[in-house]
Amino acid sequence: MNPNPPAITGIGSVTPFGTLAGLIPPSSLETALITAWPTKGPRRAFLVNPFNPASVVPGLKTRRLDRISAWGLVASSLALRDAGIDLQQVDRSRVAVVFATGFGCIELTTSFFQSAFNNGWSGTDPITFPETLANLPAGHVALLHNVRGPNITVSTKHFAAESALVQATSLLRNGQADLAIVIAGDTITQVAYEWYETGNLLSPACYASEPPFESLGFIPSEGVVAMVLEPSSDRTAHSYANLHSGRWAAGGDPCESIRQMLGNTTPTLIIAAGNGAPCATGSSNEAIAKLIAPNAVMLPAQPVALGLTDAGALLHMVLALSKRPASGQALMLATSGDSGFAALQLELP
Amino acid sequence: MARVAASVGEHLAIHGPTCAVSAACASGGTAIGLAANMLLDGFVPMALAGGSDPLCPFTMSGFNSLQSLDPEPCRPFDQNRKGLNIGEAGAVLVLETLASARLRHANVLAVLKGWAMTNDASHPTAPQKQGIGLADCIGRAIEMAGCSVDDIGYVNAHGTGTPLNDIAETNAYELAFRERRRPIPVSSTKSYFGHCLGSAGSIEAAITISAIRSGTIFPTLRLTDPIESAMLDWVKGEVRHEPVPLAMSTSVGFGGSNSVLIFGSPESIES
Repeated sequence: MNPNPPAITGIGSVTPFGTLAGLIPPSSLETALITAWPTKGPRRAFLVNPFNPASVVPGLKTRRLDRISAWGLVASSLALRDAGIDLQQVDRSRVAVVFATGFGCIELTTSFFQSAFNNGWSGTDPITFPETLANLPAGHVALLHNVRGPNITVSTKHFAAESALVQATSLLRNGQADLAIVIAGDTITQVAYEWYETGNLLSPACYASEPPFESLGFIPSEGVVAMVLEPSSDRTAHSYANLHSGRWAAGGDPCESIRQMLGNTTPTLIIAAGNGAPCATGSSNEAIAKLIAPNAVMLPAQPVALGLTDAGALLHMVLALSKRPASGQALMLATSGDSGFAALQLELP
Repeated sequence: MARVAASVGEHLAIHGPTCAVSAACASGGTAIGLAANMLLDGFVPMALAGGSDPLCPFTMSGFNSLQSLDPEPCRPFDQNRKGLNIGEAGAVLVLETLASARLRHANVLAVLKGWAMTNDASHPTAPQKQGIGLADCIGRAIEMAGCSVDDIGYVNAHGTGTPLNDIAETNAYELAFRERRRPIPVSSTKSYFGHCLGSAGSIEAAITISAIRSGTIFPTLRLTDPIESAMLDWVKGEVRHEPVPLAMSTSVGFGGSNSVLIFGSPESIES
């Protein structure tokens, strides 16, 4: 066990549940009809309601930014507020930003291609171009908060958010940062949605007017969740959970690797995560959980977080923590058939 | 983005963690730094780390729209520099713990002694003019390497050839090496390969290792009228042949990204 594990001391989110600091109050969530682009018929997804970022973070300017950048700015601000951190009192050169995404700035990338289609390659927009880069959301977060530590964007097939948490933990452990803002999310765009649809990956609930949740396929979702991580011994802050260790891998035997990670501890709670890919089935989560911790209570994966695909782990975790689980050891687990697994060892204070 | 790393893993049947890292033009260097962190944590005993970026209309059009391109061959650090040339490349380093390398009697090419990542938090695209973020990054990498500014024998600079980058970078070196007793040799090998974007950091890491191994420092091509600096020893004209026990590779990217890698000869670990 890590004697000084990073504590999650702040949470901020921009999700279909709304724009929130702290945990997400349990509530039922319905899909919404997609109206942002013409669809072949009624199409549904878990969508973020449009809002003015400046109404949440006064003075925030986001007009030329991709929505994922804007949401990252709002979510990180809410997470810092929730953690009670006054950045004036912090050495900002020691604050890291780690951002996880599956698609990155796909909206402005689409716009850039559209401008090339309309005007030719010599007529593209110089303001849009840099905003297409996957690391710009993290760069904007650094700029807004004037935080100058390591600034990293990661994308990992199926497990981007888990890998971001592990990378942030490593930066803290190795003394490369004193505090880390971890952010994960994606937006739904026409390109992504139609790609899912063409690939036959969507749940029938995406097409129905009154959808029941189906296990076959997934319902695309969008949003960004931010967390503040700091060494648990640094100050007497409230901690949602302590992150003892984490692993992700593209293959191999998950049980052996997870047992090695857990050491002598036995989790009493399994938080099932994963994405919406057909290979990321709940049954393999359950099978592995039974092998590792047969008596543990299992919280099922949440459809809204499954729909965030590679970047959904932070939302999975927040939704699980929002159910106010008992204190003790927890294992957050995501499997993806033969494409690997991710596991996070959590201590719930 | 994740697909590139996943494809490499699938092709080589690697079952460990795969991860694509984006820090714009500092991606290659940052990927090497993060892989080194994973070794340090005992997370993996060996890692493949680097970058890859092909030439395509998207990037050419983007940099053209920013008016960053020099239609002629670029002239990094020259007072008459006009911009960058885009290149394409891929380069990957095999990193492993020294224990793992010795166990399998590997030919150790170099030792990664220090690395660091910082952010300028200044502007989405332009570097911070005084080079404070990059200088801080250099300082952190030197501290990790456990060496002094006098020990660094060569800096393989980011040196794109754009007016804004090269002056900010010069300022960063002046700040970071201000206590050095003699000028620091600096060159930009982007004058040979162009700016290979996400792979630049890993290609330049390989060139930096090559400088250590062969005692060869390549000059910046077409550098005839360098930015004035008493603290920088601009390597220009002739190839230099001299021992380089420790060398540094720097990378800078949009979004304010900085990364610095310090490599040493295998013998340097004994000292």
